[in-house]
Amino acid sequence: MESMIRLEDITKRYRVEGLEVRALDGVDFEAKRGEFVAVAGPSGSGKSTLLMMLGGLARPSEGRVLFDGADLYGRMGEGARSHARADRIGFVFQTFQLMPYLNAIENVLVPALAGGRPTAALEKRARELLDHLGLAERARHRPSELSAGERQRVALARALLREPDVLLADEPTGNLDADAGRQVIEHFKEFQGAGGTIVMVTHDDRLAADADRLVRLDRGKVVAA
Amino acid sequence: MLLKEAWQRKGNFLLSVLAVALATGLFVGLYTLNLAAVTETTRAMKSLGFNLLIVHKDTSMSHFYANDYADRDMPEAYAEKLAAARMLTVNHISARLERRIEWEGHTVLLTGVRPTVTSGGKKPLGFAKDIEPGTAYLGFELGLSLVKRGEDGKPLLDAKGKPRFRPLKLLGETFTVAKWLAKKTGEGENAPHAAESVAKDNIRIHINLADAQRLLDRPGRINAIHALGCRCENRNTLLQIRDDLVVLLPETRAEVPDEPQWFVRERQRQRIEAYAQLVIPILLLVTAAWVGTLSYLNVRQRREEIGLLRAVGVRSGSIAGLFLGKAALFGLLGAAIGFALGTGVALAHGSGIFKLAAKTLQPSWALLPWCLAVAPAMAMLASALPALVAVSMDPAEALRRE
Repeated sequence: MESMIRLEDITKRYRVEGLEVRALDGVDFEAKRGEFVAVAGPSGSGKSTLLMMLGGLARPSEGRVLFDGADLYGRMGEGARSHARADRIGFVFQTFQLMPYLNAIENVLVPALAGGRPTAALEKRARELLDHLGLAERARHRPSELSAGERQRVALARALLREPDVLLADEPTGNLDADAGRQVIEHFKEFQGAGGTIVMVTHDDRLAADADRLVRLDRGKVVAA
Repeated sequence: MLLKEAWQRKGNFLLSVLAVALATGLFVGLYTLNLAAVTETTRAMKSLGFNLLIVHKDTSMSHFYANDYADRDMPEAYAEKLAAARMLTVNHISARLERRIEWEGHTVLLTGVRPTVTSGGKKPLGFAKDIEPGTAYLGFELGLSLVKRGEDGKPLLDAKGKPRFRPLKLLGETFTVAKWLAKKTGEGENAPHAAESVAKDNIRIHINLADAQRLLDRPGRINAIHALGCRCENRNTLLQIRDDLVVLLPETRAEVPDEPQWFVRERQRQRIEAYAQLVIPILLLVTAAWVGTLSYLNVRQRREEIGLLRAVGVRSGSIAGLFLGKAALFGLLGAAIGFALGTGVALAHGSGIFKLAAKTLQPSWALLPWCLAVAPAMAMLASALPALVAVSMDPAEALRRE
């Protein structure tokens, strides 16, 4: 399988109250096209930083991030990274990150709504996604009127709106019960089955078992791959 | 999305609308009331009029008020020039040459007068026509000493029943007394110095201007122009009249010796206008700071939202547009409410303040498009910095806060 996304000797340093903190320290990582990779590790091990870096949201202090062969932080500007995130990368977060004042279908359409009016094709796609994820009846409901599992499925629909190549998930089942979590993982597997690449950060080894491969981080370093 | 977000965070949005509405309302209210104040003053000027004293610009006014004549003179032609300029609606312009002289052991005021009636059809003030050469009008006190008396001490009267006078000898020339002016007390005058000045007319001798110029050896010269019963044709204020006079008669200056009440009011209005010109920029700054702070708080509240938008690929321009668009929205709403509020308050209270202009009070519709354009622009400007903060926010940091 060809490489979809790859980190080469990545270091990410922060300064906290004058002290240097290494969130990632010489990390090499790769997810091949169509692969489902789980990233596990204790709190503060650098999992979320790694995910943000893969999504073009956190510039590394050293090293390269290659997305489908292109250096994400090299010559690529912020505009191009935004473009890549809009069309090729989908994010799913533990806390869903839904806009409380928008209903389910509007939340799915947020990437388009923020820049103006979504096209009819996108609206159709959003309805189809909600229907597919079992939320057709909940399309006009606000997040406060949805269960945690439903909210996460709305967030998943939002991530899938533009048929991305890669899904980046940060503890996607962290706030869900076992059934709802299982349902989300099923949808991930479905996305993978259609050729999508998934990188999922989790601390749940049972969920990690669903992935093709598990990468363990500890104190900013890969300890098992 | 803008409207729904505004509704979600109603407090922030309504406070922003309130800030813009208050600033706009205050501005519109002040503007509308000021228009009424100007109309009020103009009407008062037209109905009451005022007297203008024009003297040489180097005249010492302390000398003038102490001696009742100007110590510098100017060409007589200035009076004609002023009358021809139609700068003011004047019933009567009189060119004068005045001095204090010694007469029969007393100090008296000698005034040479040449009246110029300028507004046809209107009743002239003061002396209706020129004093005939060789004649004099005597102030009351002076007349008493020249009146011929019989053996019983009573004044001798002519065929028309008027007192007869001895010839008046002035600086070597003899004049016939043509008129004995009634006693003036100055009572009823509203300015103390005006009352005093009127009383001094009792020791004044009026003669023809040419006679006075010859007696005082000042041919073709005058030292005062009295413009009586002036009424401004438009919104000219005294300051503007003075500016206009500087252009028309560069060597003169204008004084209002008996200042009417509305002049004081006009000065107050100008002072309030000057304060308003100072207050409005401060008001704008305070409003901008208020709006900017609220926008910044809105950015802080929406950190994760901004992070999410960046994560789903929304570009910086669109994110800034969300905040600037919201600013335009509350700016527009605030401007409309402020215009209605300011106009309403001005109309409700203005008629009580401005009696003469009450019926002219009306909404300043011409301001509305300006308010609707400027207020949103100002709100957007005040929100520009918070929008920049939103755009430059680190999305990874914002999303990590969860």
